[in-house]
Amino acid sequence: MAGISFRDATRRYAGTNAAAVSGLNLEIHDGEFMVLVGPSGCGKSTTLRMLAGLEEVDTGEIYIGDREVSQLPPAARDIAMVFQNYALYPHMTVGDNMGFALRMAKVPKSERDRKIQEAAKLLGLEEYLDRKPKQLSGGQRQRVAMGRAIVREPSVFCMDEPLSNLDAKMRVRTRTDIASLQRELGVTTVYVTHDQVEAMTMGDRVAVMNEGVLQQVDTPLALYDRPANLFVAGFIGSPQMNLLDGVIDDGAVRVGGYTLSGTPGSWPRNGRVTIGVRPEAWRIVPAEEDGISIEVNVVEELGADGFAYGTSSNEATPHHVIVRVANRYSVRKGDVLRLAVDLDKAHVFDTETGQRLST
Amino acid sequence: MTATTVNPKARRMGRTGRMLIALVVVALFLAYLSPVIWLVMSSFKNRVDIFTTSPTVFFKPTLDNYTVAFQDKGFGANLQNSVIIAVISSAVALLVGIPAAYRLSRHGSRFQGAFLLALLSARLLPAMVLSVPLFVLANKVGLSGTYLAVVAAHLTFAIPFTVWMMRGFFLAVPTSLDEAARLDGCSETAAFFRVVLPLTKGGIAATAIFLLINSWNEFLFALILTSRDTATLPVGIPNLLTPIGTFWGQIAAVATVTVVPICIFAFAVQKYMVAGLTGGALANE
Ligand SMILES: Nc1ncnc2c1ncn2[C@@H]1O[C@H](COP(=O)(O)OP(=O)(O)OP(=O)(O)O)[C@@H](O)[C@H]1O
Ligand SMILES: [Mg+2]
Repeated sequence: MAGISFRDATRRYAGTNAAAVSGLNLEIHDGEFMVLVGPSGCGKSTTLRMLAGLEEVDTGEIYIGDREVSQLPPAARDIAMVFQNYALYPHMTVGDNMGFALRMAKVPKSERDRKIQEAAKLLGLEEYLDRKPKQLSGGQRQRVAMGRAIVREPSVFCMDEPLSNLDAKMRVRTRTDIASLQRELGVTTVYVTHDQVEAMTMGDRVAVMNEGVLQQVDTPLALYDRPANLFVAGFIGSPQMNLLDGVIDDGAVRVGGYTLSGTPGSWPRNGRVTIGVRPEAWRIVPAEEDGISIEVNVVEELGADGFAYGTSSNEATPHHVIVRVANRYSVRKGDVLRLAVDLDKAHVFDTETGQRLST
Repeated sequence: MTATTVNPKARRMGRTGRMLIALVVVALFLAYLSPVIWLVMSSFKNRVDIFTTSPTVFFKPTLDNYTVAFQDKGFGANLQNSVIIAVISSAVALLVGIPAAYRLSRHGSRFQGAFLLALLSARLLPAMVLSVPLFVLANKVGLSGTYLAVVAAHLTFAIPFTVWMMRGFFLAVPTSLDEAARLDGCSETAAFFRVVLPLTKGGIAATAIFLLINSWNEFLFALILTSRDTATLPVGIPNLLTPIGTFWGQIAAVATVTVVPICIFAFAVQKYMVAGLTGGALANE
């Protein structure tokens, strides 16, 4: 078992202009469950594949423990990977699939069988050991892929969207299965997904990437509460954070004619900013109070609570505003709501650089 | 929309339809096979039976044509040459072509497209265009009349063919399989032999059969590059058209030996050929 450290790791594919991953610096602790998340094409898989040795590291280094691995072949890195398509060997039985790495490592047959049995028991695969992968359901194949990784007792697990081929219900179940299995085994894990709910529920920490650049690494809640920039603010959270055009004017923060309540802070400068408000951060206030008015277009009832989607009449942000309505049946399409927000619940970003300004 | 009303009728029509189709298939089968049947029967007939004006299905079979052709007239040597040339050229083509095809299926490079196109265009050249240069070349380097000359000529077709065929089969095996194997402790070579190769057995069998048949049947290169001692079966046959007459029975015997093994071979491995030709089905689905 070991921690992982990316140091300025960069990968540029031949014939492309922008680096798929550029200057990545990331420390992953021993035994940690690290989730890489970001939109399609942001370089998550490339990062994982560099770690596994399936993709070259053009510049920079990668350490596993205190070993520099970026020049080692995959076989020498002691990493087990779960692929998106599972990549089970179709010509081998489930048992042989799980035991393949042990056989390559010349582990004696009796010990091999014992380890396969153990893993099969853990994953509920005992009765399928003699089947071929194509005789299994999608969920079972997924578990075989997991089993193949855990029998090896590697120092690192890599998983590239291992749940994306499962149906919604299985995905939720397997999500918790994988997370608790990882906690039990304590193996350092790097998990790639584009689904931010997966990222938030599974990761000890989450690394958000965009266009090959790491945006922020932190615990799920810290990402949610203190996004470092506009990208993370917009990416993490569902429904999305409201992003409104605003200005800083002598310490006060205004959106159109509305001045956010709370004590004026000390900002680096006056000028245009973007103000982020989570749907649950709004207060619904009486119409005569200061605030932003929206006309509700859609109410999304989720059972426990709901979200109202409306159009703002504020001259600065004449667009969609999302607000959580806890009290069901209280809001209907066509209603006009008055929304206010406290400055300490809002996130202020520099519109030009996208960086967070509020503390 | 009208499925429920049409269906029963379609099924009734289907039965007679199927009968009709079966009849047509049998008729076509016999039509296509008739030359072969005629050939094989003729090879067991004596001169009189061959030239009778009212050919008959029932005659007294004889092995004379075979013994004369293969023992007295030396076609045994031709048979041996055919086997040697077909086996060596196919084996070399597979040995060279399979690794090349694997590489080309796995590592994209800037020149890959151009390389594959060049290979393909070599295959598209009519054999006739190559025959004269090859003949001159073989003479110049003193290889004329050797096995090596014919094998090399056959390889001009066989290697590109193998690369193109096998590349298709390898492309159907997801790269994540070799990657999984490499993470499981295999070198690149071991991943190929332990995971990729077993999954493309069918494709290799199909390719091997096509290669064997092609070399076995090839006439032009074999004609210009072999000597008396190295001539293959197809090259030898015209020797039976002589000034003192055409030995139809012996021609039929030699031709039968040329054609029949291929039919039997293809039939025996047809399972692999079908599996090979539908390659992708084998991999992860
Ligand atoms: N083999 C390749 N050759 C050239 N460019 C590539 C190659 N693989 C990936 N890329 C490019 O590198 C960038 C990052 O790709 P990567 O596969 O890491 O994205 P990802 O974050 O995993 O996306 P997804 O969520 O869609 O899987 C993309 O812009 C992609 O087009
Ligand atoms: Mg990916």
